[in-house]
Amino acid sequence: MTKNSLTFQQLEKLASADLDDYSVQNLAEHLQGLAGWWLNESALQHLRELEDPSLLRLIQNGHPKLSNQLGSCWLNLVVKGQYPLLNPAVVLPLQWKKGISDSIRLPTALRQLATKIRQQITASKEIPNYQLAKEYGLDWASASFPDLADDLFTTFDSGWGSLMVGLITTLQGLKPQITVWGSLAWLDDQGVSRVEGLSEKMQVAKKWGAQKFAVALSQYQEAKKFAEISDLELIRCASAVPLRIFPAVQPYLTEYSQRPEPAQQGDEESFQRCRNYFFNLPAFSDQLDSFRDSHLKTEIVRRCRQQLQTNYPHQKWTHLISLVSHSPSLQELIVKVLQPEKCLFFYSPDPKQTKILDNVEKLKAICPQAEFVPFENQIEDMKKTFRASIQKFVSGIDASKVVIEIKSGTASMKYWLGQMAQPRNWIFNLESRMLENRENDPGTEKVELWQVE
Amino acid sequence: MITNPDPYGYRLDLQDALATSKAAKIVYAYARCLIHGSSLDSDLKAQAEGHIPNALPQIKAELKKWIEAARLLGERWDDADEIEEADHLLEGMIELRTDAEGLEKAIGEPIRELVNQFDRELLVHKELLETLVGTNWYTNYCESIPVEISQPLWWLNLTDEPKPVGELFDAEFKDMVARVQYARKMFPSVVGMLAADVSDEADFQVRKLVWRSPDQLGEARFNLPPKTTAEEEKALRPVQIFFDKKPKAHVLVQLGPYQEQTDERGRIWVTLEKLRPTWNGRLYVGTPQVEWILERDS
Repeated sequence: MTKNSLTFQQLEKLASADLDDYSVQNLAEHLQGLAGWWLNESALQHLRELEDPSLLRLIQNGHPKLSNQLGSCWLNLVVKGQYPLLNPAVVLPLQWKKGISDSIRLPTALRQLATKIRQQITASKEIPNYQLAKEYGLDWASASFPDLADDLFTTFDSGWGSLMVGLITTLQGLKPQITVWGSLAWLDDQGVSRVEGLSEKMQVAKKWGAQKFAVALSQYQEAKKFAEISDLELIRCASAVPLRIFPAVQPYLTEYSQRPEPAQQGDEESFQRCRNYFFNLPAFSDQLDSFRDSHLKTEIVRRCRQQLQTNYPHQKWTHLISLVSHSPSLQELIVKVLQPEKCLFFYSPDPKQTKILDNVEKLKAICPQAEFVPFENQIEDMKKTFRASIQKFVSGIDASKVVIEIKSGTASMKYWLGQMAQPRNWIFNLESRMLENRENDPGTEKVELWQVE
Repeated sequence: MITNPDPYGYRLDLQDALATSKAAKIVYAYARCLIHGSSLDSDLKAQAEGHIPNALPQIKAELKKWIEAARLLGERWDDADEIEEADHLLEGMIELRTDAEGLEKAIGEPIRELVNQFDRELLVHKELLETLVGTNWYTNYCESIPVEISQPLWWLNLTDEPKPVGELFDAEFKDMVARVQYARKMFPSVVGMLAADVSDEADFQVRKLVWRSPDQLGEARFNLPPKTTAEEEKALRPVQIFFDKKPKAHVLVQLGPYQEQTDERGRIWVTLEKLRPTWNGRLYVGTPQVEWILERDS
């Protein structure tokens, strides 16, 4: 807050006036760059009718746009009281900026909230680059916005969610999706919690192009009727004990973070950006699988190939033996890393394992030359099938060119497949760090190979 | 090798002057070449310097007139009817002081004391000269002199920092000058041809100029952006007249070159392009015309 800050008393006087040339100009001049955001449609229309190029530029013709640049975020708040010239709720377009302190042009309570958010992120090691949070400060999104006094809003608590996802995506190097809004508070003993003024906030969010709106699960029922009126899709955020920030806002982050460009070959920054976006997606969802395929797989294959070329520069495997797993992309990944000439895939034909059968079909499309052999789950039958098919598959082949992959399948399947290995065959495994949600952490893949003696 | 292509044509002036064989004219032209950084070959230099002895008596006489003019500057400035006229007096003195500097470079010792005297007389009126700061004329003139030459010259490095009221003129006139300076400072700068040239977010703010009638009931408002483009300069903008906060229709308003009746909504329409050359921020309303006073820091 500075000595020129717009105070509640000033705003109340200006925004309560009649809708005439004199009052509406006065209010716009005090709101400066916020005029386009805060004035209601009648006031904006009145300003347009004045045909003053300076005022039209100030209100950006009544259609200001949120920035979708890195660090951009926006709060949706209810001003104390209701006024004939203002929207029922107002927008504060903000920006997290690296290397600055929180701007003194912002109200004290908002700066205190920014401090709380930095502290919470710094203590949450599961958030990518959490240790950099303290390097970011909060500022207006535009220098054309006025300084605001402390008494203009009763509380900024409901801005917690928007500021939090704003800073997390900034640390992740991800841009925001300007159609995703929200209003969430945080209580230290309860986690994500309810807010006031949801109806007004959703109304205003819709006006500015929102399509989705994040609310606390505890307020979901109440929010549903407002969301229906405003035609908004709701995002539910909830906290479980022990209270943790990242899982609480993950549904909001999933929608709020903008899908980045696919990772570029050898570009660590773009790979990390995609990895961070991957963390925001729900575990074991189609959304996550398809993102891994489209954005990360090519670079993961390249990194694994690099490991092979470094550690086994003269080795070439021509025959791959593997099990079809639940993960559609794992076999494809292994084939692309090892680049064999021929493949033998075993699979369980159990009709209940629909995902395995689907993956067999997908693999047939990817490896048209591969052989697919079903096996029964009883161990003796399985061993019999393995032995017979492998003998036929590797007949007359140099044993050192054969590789058996043991990443896929159940422990028992892997064990018995491994037992089929002959001297000089290779055993292949792909290790990676397991995330808390049981997904593999992209980029941590480590190729492991042993030659049977 | 000629490194300076004579951007302002002073070398051509010198060649023209040499053709007339008028000694003083030649030396003035030579002095301007020196102070504006025009490159001269040794032959041209030698020809010009050859005329110094003959020109000296006339140049000394001129310098004495300039000293007298500098001494009377405050008085004549007070007597000026319009701010433009006052500005012209100051602009002329700045030009003369620069010419004197060039002459001293060309002639040296024989005129040094006269130039110093001229300088002392002019320095007394530094505050007056500072009213030119921010005008297009002063900016352009200073830029016409190479920075390595202008850098030590005080009259080419004036600033408009607030000064205590001087004793040379009355407070009312001083106040009017301050208002004109304020109006000039608030007038938008032109940054380029296209809207994209206005890139700084702060440029989307509005500067409001407000004039009030002597009885404080009338108010004129003119909203200006801090920066404009060539395109925006041509846009029509309203200056709106209010009486008791209500728009006043059909009243005569004069602002710069505009003298018009307000429309139904109390507006006259102006362009920055047309206002810019003579902008002094003075506004007259009604018949007979009454000057409304520009509020500073409105």
